[in-house]
Amino acid sequence: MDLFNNLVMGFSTAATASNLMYCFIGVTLGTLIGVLPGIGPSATLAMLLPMTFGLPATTSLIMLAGIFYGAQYGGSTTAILVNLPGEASSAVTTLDGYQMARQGRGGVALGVSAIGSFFGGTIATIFVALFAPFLASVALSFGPAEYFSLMIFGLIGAVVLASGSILKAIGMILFGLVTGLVGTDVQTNALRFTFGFDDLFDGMDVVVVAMGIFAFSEIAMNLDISEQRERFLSKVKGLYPTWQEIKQVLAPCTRGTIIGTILGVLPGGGPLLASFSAYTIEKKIAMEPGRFGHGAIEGVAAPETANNAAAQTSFIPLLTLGIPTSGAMALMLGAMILQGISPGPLVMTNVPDLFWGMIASMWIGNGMLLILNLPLIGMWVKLLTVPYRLLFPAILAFCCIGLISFDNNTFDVFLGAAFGLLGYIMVKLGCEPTPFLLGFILGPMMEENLRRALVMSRGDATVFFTRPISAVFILLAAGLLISVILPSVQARRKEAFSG
Amino acid sequence: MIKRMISGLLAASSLICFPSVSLAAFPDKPITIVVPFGPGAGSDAVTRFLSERSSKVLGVDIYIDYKDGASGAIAAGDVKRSPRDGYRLILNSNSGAAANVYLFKSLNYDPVADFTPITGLTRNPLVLAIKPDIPAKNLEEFIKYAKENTGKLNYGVGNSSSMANAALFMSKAGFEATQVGYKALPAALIDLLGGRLDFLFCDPFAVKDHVKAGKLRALGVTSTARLKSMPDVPPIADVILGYELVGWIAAFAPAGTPSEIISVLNKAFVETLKQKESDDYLEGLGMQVFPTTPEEMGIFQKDQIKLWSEVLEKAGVPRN
Repeated sequence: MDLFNNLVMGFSTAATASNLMYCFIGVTLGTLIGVLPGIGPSATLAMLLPMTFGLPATTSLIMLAGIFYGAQYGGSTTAILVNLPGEASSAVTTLDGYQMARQGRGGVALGVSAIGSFFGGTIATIFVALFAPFLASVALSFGPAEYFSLMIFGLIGAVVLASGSILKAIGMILFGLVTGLVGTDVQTNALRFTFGFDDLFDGMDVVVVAMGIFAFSEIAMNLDISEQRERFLSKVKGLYPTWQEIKQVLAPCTRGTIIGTILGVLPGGGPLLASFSAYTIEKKIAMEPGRFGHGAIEGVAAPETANNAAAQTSFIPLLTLGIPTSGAMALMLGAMILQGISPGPLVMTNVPDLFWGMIASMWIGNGMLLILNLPLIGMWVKLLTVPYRLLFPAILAFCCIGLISFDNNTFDVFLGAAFGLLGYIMVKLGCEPTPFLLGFILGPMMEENLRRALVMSRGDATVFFTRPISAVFILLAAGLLISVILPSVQARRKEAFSG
Repeated sequence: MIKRMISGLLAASSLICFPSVSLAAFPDKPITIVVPFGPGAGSDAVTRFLSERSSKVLGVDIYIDYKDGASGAIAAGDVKRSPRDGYRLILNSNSGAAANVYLFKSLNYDPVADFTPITGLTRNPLVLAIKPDIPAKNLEEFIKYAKENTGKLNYGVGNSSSMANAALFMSKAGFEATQVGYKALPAALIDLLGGRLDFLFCDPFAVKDHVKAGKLRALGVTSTARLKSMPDVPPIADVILGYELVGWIAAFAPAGTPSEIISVLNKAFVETLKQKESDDYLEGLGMQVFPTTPEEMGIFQKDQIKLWSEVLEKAGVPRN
């Protein structure tokens, strides 16, 4: 039993007093950071990296990892309570989570998201322990053609995700795609749509855009609609999910875990793509898709489970190949280099105590997070009793701090404000910001991979159909598209939404 | 309240200090080094290591101020406008202090006129790695193979060093291949490991273990000296005479900083670089120590601006 021995070694490494303490510090910080909109795990890792130099390598990586996956727990809190995604990956949680809060079920939504996160996190960690080398080879078999087809699938999913007019949804996706093109073109190094701003050379960050179109515009809407915001608290119905509700989300959580585990491994995938995909699939297979967007508990459980599962498995390419798949993972890689560990396929054989210690700490950390988060729910729900005239300036201030801390750059604050205005106009026109954000995220990745695939195939577009993984995604996308376009289905869809 | 505590903690933690003993004259207060990249970037390890050690030599704290973005223009613009007292310096690289002259038509700083060189710090050679199913055991065989398959091979580029090296290598070896662009080298490395790229110029520390595990083959290094971390990999110059194109990091002060101050800083950095631990640490990362006099660095920089411009232009990289 090699795995057993390895896990014993892992737990004996992770369970030392100092490693437990730093794991706890990491997940606690991560949760709090996740709650603050805009200050994402990448910014936090960047700020805290210098503090870990004095620590042993394993301890410092355990703490940094804790911050990263802890943030996935915290990110849902503000998404549910005040419609502000604490992390980009929680953006989709706002759709049903906030509605649940409006119906007085905010505590339930928070509880389900904490339990779902724990479920996804622990199961995904088992996958990491069992299949890390295998999953790494899956990641390697994903070339540009496969990515492009996956993103096509994702975008068509976004059309399904939208609850309003299909035309508007497609319009929003395309608008998002175009907005994503701002910056330096990867293939030719040419600048596009930067209008002479140095700060746009590297494109716009998804955090800035998400904060603008979700947070700022939501505040504007709230101030716009009525002087006094709805009082949710008068109708809070119980803080914790009932056994019945937990049973109801078991299947969505399982699906979320599977989706998150797979998408987390893929470079560029990660928690963000996982939460969007999980939501789309839940809505697609639901008996009454009309409930989604009106406080469906599955719409909170599935994406929250998925983003946490993905947070765990996104360590796989880093630990087994030495390849970072996201900004946060690049910082973890930096931490490893600073600690004198050369990242790559030999980490598992050269420093097994580090590898297995980190995996064991993920279980311990997820347990701590559950224990930490459930009692906090009561406290967070009390936030809603704060009068809105006090709450919104505080939210705005925190958003701005987040935006500045992100790149040490005031330009991002103005950019966030511009997207706030844009988001407000979108909502006024009845266009949903979610497909826009997905287009913005997927657009540049799609373009990069499309062009890369075509450059590699010397312009032969059939690669998307001849490579098996790619062909599967194209087929799935076609299936989704047909299901949306077919008149009978469309009629049913309308019915569902008008109901 | 908790939010406030956290943000306070974060603000405090972004400043790091090292213990120090004060000396008379320069320097008598902490020195800040502005770097054009974020924490955790590859160059961060070097920066931290050297600043910590030089701070002991200089006897004052050294802070690192991360100003990434806009291809280094933000960091350079900051230091250019700083007081000329030696307390605010910049670490710049072959990108920010040389290649940018070609890459950007209107740069908001002049890497030569706005700065005074202090010393070179490190040279960062790349390694030419190929996918293992190419039947070439060494560089000669690979060049022969590439010529036989001219136009059929793919290579990845993820930064100006990898792009310039590929262009220079192909023009000297006399074959053509198709360039595939990436935002950063790790993504290109995935496609090389997945067999979708045929060759890649990549950082030694990133490919070392893959070579050891037999997943990649390393055929040559872009410096004229071998790397201590990969002693089996010969210089490309062994086959292509005169081949040398290596990235570097150097320290600069704002132009007009008094030469006495420059000389104090130069001595401290050079002394740090010549310590055996520095050599061991940097070689472990696949880098080489690069101590120079301020004058040598100035001449080297001007040569490099010419060299990188020529190579990038030949590679067909557009100017923005």
